[in-house]
Amino acid sequence: MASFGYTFRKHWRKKRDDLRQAKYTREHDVLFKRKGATKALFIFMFVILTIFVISFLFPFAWILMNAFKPTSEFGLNMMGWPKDFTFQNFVDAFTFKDATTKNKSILEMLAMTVLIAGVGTLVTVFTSTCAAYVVAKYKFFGRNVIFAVVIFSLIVPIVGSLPSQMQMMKNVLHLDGTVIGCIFIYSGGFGANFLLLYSFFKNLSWTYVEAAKVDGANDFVIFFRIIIPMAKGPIIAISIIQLIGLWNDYQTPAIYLPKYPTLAVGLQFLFEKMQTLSYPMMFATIIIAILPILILFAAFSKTIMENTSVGGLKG
Amino acid sequence: MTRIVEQSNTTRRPRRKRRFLKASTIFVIVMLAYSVLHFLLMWVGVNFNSILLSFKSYNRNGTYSWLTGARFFENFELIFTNIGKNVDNYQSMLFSSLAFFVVSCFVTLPISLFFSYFIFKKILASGFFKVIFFLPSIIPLIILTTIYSITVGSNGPVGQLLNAMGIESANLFLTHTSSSWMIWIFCVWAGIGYDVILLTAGMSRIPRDILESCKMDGVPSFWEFIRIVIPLTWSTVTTLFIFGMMSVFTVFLQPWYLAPKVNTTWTIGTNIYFASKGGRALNAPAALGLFYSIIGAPIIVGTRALLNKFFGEVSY
Amino acid sequence: MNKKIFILPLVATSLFLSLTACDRTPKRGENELYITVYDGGYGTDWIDQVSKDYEAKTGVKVVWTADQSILDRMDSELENPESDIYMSHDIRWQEYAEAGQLEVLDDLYESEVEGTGKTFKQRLCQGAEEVSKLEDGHYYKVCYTQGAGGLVYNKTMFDQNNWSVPQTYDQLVALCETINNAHIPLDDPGQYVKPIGWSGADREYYWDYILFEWWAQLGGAEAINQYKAYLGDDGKYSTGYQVYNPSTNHEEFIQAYQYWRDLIVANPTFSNTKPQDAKLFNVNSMFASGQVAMIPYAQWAKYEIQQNSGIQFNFDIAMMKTPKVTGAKGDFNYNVGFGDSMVIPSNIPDSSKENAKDFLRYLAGKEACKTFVDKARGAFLAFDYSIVDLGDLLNDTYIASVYSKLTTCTNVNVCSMNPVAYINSASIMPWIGNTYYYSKAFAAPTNDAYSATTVGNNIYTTAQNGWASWVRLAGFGPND
Repeated sequence: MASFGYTFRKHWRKKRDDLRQAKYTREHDVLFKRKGATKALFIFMFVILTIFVISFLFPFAWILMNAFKPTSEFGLNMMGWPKDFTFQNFVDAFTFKDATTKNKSILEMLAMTVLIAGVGTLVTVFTSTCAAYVVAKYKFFGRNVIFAVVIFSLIVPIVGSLPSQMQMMKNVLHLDGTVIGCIFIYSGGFGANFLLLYSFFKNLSWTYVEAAKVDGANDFVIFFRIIIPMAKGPIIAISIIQLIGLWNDYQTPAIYLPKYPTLAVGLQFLFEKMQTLSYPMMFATIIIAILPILILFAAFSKTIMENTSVGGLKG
Repeated sequence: MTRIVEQSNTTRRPRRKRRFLKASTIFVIVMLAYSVLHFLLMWVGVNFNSILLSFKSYNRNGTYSWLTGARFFENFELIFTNIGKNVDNYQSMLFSSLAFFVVSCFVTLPISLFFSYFIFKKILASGFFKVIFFLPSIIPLIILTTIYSITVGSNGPVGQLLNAMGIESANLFLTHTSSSWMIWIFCVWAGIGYDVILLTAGMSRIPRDILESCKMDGVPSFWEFIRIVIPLTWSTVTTLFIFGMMSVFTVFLQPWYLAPKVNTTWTIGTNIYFASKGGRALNAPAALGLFYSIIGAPIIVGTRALLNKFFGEVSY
Repeated sequence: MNKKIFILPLVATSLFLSLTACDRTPKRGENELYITVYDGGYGTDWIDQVSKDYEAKTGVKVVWTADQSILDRMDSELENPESDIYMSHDIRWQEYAEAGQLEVLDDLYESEVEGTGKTFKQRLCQGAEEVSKLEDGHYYKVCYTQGAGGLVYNKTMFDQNNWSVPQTYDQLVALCETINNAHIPLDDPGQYVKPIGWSGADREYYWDYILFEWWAQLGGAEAINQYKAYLGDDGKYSTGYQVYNPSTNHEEFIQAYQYWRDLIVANPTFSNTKPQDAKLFNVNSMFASGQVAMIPYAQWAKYEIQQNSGIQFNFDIAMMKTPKVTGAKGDFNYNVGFGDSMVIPSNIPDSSKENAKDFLRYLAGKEACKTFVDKARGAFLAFDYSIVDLGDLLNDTYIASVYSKLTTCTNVNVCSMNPVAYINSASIMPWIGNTYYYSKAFAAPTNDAYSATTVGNNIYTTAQNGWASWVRLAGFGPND
């Protein structure tokens, strides 16, 4: 417990230092010193941005507040602080399931999401890493063709290949209705991740590999022992971004796993039913559903914010 | 035939001719095999099958047969007929989809550019704003749409405000026009965050000395924004513009989540999704997808090429 | 780190293998029967009870699952069936039958139902036989329920206030005024009992159940039967759109809509507040707590309202015969959900097929028919109830009223056996293109876009524009 307190204080101190530094930069950096009309403009825009941010935070705050009200109180007191503070909605939200939700509770949906998004992320990041590394660093017959085709597939928009994909999954691969089917769809190595890792590997220094080669290490050993540890940073960043993407994916699990809803699919069922039963319980469900993502985001915010820019670019 | 590209001559070891396959060739094959197979199956195979499907007709017993002779292009003729006469909302879905081009490229993107500039210029609390702009990207869409519709619905805080202003919030998702507006507003509200993230990241790569010389020359903010910041983040702007164009085809859940009853607001994506979902008569949605790919792909690829030329090569 | 990297693919692979190991088809025992029921307004008490009774009688263990996603999975289910019987609405049975995925039930239809002295075919309720076989003359499905729709009312409240059940449309309008004028106060200050509660947000189509009966009253059963044939005046598929002509074939339908407008749109005070935005739950709660006197509903009203609102009725309810409009050609009952099906997949072992058929035969017996009514609180299976002794169940005012509606009115339904209609079932229906006007019309009472004339013309135009495409999707040529 003491160590937790220490970590927390350390983190807090760092945060405070960062904020102080940001304030100092804002006030003393010549670039950001403003006066006159420019200053007025910035104040005006600050107000606009604040309004926008409030439009985002207010609904969540409203929902959080109402999640602690009994259902009967919500109808009478929508805007006020809870008079009869209760955790019951959260307890109910954790266990609620019925035919509308395919008899799955939010915890079961969460488990399914962790399984599909988690394994899906591991597999696709792994295959992308393998493919990107080889295409970036090895010269072999067809290398340029592979690269060109991949770029083509990423640039040219294809509308609605879903019908054909469904046929493929059902009649050729017989994977519809299975968890593996979902993960299989995610598992390709030639997505946007490929490009990111490709450019990373392209710029990677080759000295270590040469040294290892001299020591007689084979390609597999080099890849797993040297390259992957060196690429740890981008791999983790891509994994997190990929995880968030798969976590929120609707189409694949909705089509191929109708019986075992993930959160993105199942929340819709939960909301549909809870809107008819109890709004506060639905609000509690919303809070429960976004909490894991917010925690992940808080823990990795720096990595995410530094890398989404790159990750998002190559869609 | 396989060698490591960057391997220098000094470290290259003598060829071992005795082996049939070199170790690194095996390595390359192992590393690529899965991804190549997956790609062949799920991209090449799927798209090829799409083309085949769109030249087949569906038999009521669940099988497909080839269209021949005069009926060869039947699925595509049907698309033209349906668009012309608005059968099964083909016309309205085209307009509803195209609207997202306007919304994404000419509303969301300019607002985001504007917001990003001020965040980039370290407006008060810019770090906090940046974090908040991340939220819509990481929260599941169903939660965003649910929160939005509850908030503006007749029970929600905004809905009650609207009622007080004389706008009946109970009717917002009832007709095509009002539902469309509500969906567009949602898309701007929820879409700005994503654009801002990418744009501020792009702006942060602008070299400091350029901005410093602007400051010294006393360039007003507006001109700095137009003449310096936009050209220097042009590649990001282009990307987002292309994303905006692609939203015509990619947006499919928002209209359904927000206005499930008003199916005229549904997009091409929504229609293909629901036409496919039953798993029957897949030839029609496959043809529809192919049809819009043939039209959309050259336009989008062409626009990308055009936009990339706009500011020439900006290197820094 | 590098160790972890080695472990990851291993973990992934083992996960894959463990997941593939799950066998999707249940191992069927000789004496087991698997049933999947759509979990809707009938609840699951009935299947639980009937299964127990059947097991006690035959020794065959019935394993049932209630499921709301069954329709999404029906295609893959039939290829690899987990169940021996599927019961649900909207099963596209004609297409599955043509694909050979459904068991032919001819022998079941000819077999005798124990204790009734009748064959299975003779046990069917009126109209069920012709919507259960294909053009090839074979039977592929059994109708699930014979529905009843209409206005459900708070009988205790009616009795206490001496309101008589309206027999005619004018009496209904007058009754609504009486209820409003009575100003019966509610707990909330300033609130009083409203005549009708309806949900425009998610159940506006419940109004169909009344509107279709006015349609039948105006045009007679022939009008409905002619409509649902979806054939042109020349008897062709390709001119089927003519059934939507508002000045000839669809005239009575549009008239019925006008009656609805005159009742509901012209008198906003007859409805609950903002019905266009009210969810089913809201109006069910209103009805169950006595805040509204009437509610448009179907046979599952008693079960669903209590289950959905969480309030048990502390008063009697009943379903009224739909009040007659001027010139009505008799009393009609619209068989809500008559297209619902019970089917047996062809891809299951023969012993399971026999068990499944035997179970369906058991359902047609007196005991199961009665249990269904009891446990589903007033819904009736699609069998002839004239030989079923319902006994004290008829003391329940709601069950008695549904029974009376089913037995004393002419039953009509809109299930079509025309391929153009069932292939395009998402578009072809009385409200073509699945477009409803109830909520919109209420929200904008003066908007001409929702007037009877405009709506009638719109429906016809939509039908004319779409028909050629729909005929083609059903596999017919432009001149068939």
